[in-house]
Amino acid sequence: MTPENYVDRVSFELHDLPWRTRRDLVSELRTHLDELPAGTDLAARLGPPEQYAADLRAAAGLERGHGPIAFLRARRPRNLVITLVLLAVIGLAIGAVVWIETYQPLAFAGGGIEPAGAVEAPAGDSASLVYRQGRPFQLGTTVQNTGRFTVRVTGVPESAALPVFARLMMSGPLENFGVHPPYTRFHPFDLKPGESRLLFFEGIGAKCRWKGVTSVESALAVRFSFLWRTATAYIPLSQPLAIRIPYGTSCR
Amino acid sequence: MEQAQLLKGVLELAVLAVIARGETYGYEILSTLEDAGLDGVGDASVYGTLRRLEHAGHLTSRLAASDSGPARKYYSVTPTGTEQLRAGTKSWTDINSAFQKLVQP
Repeated sequence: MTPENYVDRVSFELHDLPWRTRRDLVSELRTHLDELPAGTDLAARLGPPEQYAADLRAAAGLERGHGPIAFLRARRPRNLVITLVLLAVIGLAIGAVVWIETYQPLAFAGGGIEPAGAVEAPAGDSASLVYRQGRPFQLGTTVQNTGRFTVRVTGVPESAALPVFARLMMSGPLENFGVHPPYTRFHPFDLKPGESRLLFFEGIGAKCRWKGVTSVESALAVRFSFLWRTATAYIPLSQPLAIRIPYGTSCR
Repeated sequence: MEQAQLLKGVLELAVLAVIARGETYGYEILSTLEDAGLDGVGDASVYGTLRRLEHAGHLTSRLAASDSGPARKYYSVTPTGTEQLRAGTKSWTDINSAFQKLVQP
């Protein structure tokens, strides 16, 4: 066994010790081996490296270290790098999860559909509609993906306050924010970055359970999924729509 | 009982005693111990004892260039080391006297 082999094996046995301590002990052992007469049988003179390390540890009162602190103290430069890399990876992973969990790229695209008969308020910031049983009804908005990644639009739950029998409809991708038929029944679709579509409910006035009340619709709750996450984005209508159900309305 | 086992109890005193003669280094301490007949003590035990004594403040050390090979670590006894040696020697002498009385016919 060469002196360098011997030193390496002793050093390995002391790997749990603080970096500086191990460096000092190994340096001292190197010096000692240099002092020994040339050709000395190291194993015969000093014993096996493992035994040398154990005797050294026992005589110096150096207990074996365990756990993460011992790991960090043991091979400081290398362990520091490993720890920093691990922390960076964990930090990036946490950051990515947080980002994905809060990613919401859907926005109002600048247009929509209102029911026939809706009257715009003088201020021009809302509209109102008097409910009538069986009257054709359309209400929707345009949705744009303003993000950098494609998301999947999975549906729009119908507002419980909406007094209509309606089904959800959709357009194809909109060009220059124009709204172009034909429309189709809604089915889940991928909305690419920058792409817009019109989503709207189409049906007839019905289900007027609360007579004499006015309900206001101001947004569509658009469900979408991105990677593992499903979320809801509330996309505003062009303007809020107040639907008034007069007393004496015939309902079915 | 092997000599090495008996030596463990007094190795600290023996090392202090060698260094108390004058500043010296590891290999020379080992050689002095061997020349004195204490050849059962392992090299690792001596170096470990040196480290423990130094950490306890009983020894100081300095690195000095050697004629051959890397720098040597020279050890000197501090005042607390001298006191430790004095107290330890007295204890050892007392024990030895007591033991002599026991084994003498």
